[in-house]
Amino acid sequence: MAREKPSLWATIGSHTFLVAFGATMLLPFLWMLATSFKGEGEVFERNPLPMATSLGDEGTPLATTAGAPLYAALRQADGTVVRGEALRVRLGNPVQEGSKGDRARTPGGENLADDLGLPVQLGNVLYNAKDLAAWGGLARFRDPRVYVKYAEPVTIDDAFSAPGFDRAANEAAAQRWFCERPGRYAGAWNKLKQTRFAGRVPLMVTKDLGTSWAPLSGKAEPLNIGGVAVPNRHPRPLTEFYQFKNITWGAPGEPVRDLTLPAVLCQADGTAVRFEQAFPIFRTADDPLKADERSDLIAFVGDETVARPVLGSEVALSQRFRLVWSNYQTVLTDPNVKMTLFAWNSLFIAVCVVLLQVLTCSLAAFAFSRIEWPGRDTIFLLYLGTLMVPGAVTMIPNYLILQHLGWLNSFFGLIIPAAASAYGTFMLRQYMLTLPKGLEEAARIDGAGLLRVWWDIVLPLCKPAIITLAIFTFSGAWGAFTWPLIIAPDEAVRVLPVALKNFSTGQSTAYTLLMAASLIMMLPMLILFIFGQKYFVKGIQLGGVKG
Amino acid sequence: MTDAALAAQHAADRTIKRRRALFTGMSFISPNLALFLVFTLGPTLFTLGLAFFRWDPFTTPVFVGFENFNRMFADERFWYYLFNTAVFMIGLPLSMAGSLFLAVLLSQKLRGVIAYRTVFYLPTLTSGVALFLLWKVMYNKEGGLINTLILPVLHLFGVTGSGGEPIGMSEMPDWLNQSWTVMGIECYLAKPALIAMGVWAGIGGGTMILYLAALAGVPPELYEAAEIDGASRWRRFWDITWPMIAPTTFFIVVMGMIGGLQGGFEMAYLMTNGGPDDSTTTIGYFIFNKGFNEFEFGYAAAVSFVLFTLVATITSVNWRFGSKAGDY
Repeated sequence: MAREKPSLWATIGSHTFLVAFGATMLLPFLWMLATSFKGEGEVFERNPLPMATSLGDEGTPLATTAGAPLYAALRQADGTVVRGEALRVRLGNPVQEGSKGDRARTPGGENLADDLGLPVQLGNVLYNAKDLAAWGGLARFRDPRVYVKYAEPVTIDDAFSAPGFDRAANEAAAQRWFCERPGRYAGAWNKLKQTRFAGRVPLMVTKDLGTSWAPLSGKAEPLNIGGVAVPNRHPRPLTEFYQFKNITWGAPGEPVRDLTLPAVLCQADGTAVRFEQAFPIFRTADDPLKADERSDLIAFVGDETVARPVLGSEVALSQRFRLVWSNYQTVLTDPNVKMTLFAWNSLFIAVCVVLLQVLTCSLAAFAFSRIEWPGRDTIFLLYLGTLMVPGAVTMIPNYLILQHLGWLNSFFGLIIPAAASAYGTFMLRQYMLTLPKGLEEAARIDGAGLLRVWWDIVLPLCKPAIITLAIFTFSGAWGAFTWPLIIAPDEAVRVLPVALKNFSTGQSTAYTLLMAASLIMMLPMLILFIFGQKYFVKGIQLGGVKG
Repeated sequence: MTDAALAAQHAADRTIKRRRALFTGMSFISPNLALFLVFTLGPTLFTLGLAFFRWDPFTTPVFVGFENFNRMFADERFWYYLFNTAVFMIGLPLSMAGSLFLAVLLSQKLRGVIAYRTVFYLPTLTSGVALFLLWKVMYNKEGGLINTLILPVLHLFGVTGSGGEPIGMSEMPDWLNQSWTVMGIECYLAKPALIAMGVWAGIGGGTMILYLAALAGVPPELYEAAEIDGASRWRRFWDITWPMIAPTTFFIVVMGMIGGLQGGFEMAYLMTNGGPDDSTTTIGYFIFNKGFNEFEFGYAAAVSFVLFTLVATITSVNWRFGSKAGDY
């Protein structure tokens, strides 16, 4: 127990436990730190460290993880398809800014054409006003239809992984797009919404599989694995939607296989479904392919179009350690995020509250402990009684008072109600009671007023208690959330905790920015703790002093 | 001067002195007292009164007597929220036991005690908002830290999913949203998940530091004497340490109960919106919603008044009970 020199085994055991427990305590913070350096798309990846995942450097040939090279297929004028060039990684944002419908141009001014030689147009500019205000970025995303012309309802979530992009707006756009189409697309929306948006499961909507394809019917070609023919004994129910994560990807000419069943997909007439063409969508350097993200590859199967995303995990990928410093940069300097303004607000409020509270509480504590006056103990009892009044009790009246004073959305409303506290008064009084009785008498004989005694003698002696109170008040004011949320939602007086909450709006959360901002917000408290440890400890103990 | 006149003079002097003393005291206390009256005592009394009115900010208040209270006590939801509030306090004994254990370990002569203490104190240094948002992300079903950590452990023990294959991320629990019906009762995973978070956050904070201080205050002679008598470590703990730190334990229980009764607002607001199916709505969150979302100020005041009564009752019962149990 206390102050006991433990045996060697006890020491080792204690350290082992403490280190293990410390790791448990630290882990969430380490994760927070790692996430703050990640790209938006890798937040929920398994990689503990921030890693940049890409298809490779510019010009690397694209291949499946099995090593099969991927080719482009060119559709001839007569409808036949021939094998084109081997696909290579193209990096760099190839698109100039412009409005929707403009021809897409490379930064060099060159017109872009897709692999069929058709002109590429700029896609939808999707944003909403709120995001614009919050992030300032005009989020521009390619209309996937431009690139995957033959597989219209395919990938709308290219935009999903982009930093700062509003998912809700994108969903709404996608919904509009789907609902504008006749028949099957409208129904497809609900299914897509359930699986795609909720679960990040790559699901593609293709043409009516039920009518044109008979997936895995008895007529399927037997699958050949290592020279052994595997009969298809697993009929699969026909579904309107086919989960493309369940099929293989192959080079043009290869049959489309089901990954979950040893079988090949076949069409209604019994012929195998084969890949015919593929081309990748452009990748940008700051938006590399992530492990669970798809790069859109298109296959034409007769008249049907198959849109097949290649998952990052299926294509040979390169990974390297990379810290995304721009998260911090965005949080600190982006004029639309305005974290710096909110940090100054928080700091200003906290400092004012600390100064005022130390002033009012030490004056009151002085009156409660070092001066005799009638009614003193009654009033002090009142103070003590309100120590146990829950914050919820005073919330509504205080809101009304501030409303009456016109102090909603003002610094006054955030500072003045916190400028005095029963707790601080109580704590300083307890400390002042411990000072020797005759302390101020000498000064009084010298003719000093009480105010002088308070300032010249008592305050300096109370330094430890005052520092303690200051630290605790600062900590409380710095982290205060509920009260500012209620009375000061405006941007001009917004405080850090409220701003932090705004990183998470509705359905979308900017996780990386949130983590970066949280860490920045932790920093002052951490520094304060490291330098003022003994006061923290003292403060907690003073709070427990017998009343 | 006659004696009577002298006495009168004396009395007058005393009155003047008293007045002067009152003036002096008041002049020191007035800034604090003014704020205290306006923002603490006044509002408390105001809430007491408001509880008997029906009022939203757009109409004039109507006196309704005990209607708010009748409505509240007849409202199943209110009792459910009270139950929720009590359930979340399960974390208190857990984190107290953990804090005490850590404090006992740290009060040995060990290297690096300050480093350990700093690490354990980290959650307390982090503002509530950051902590709750962090844990919300950690409890994410797909790829959240908790599931990411549990999954390999499950694989190690050969836990299989529905298809007989090793369990996949999609079959992992959705901590803040999932529920099961067990014997007709809906059990929400969010409750234990949030309690666990609370224990994690509270275990190395103020409670541990209070226990450290209490342990340091136990006179070492007691241990020496016990050691000579051949008492085991375990006996020494229960017979010496535990009674010696009882006042601290008592203080922590009281403060923890007071905090627990009022708590839960930030957690519910930031992590679960009180859901699923109100299973994480506490009284604190209920008051906020009634007051600032539904603008039923009178009703919210009545609920907060009941909360105040509860806190006051528990405090006074605890103090009475505690003053018998320890020398506090």
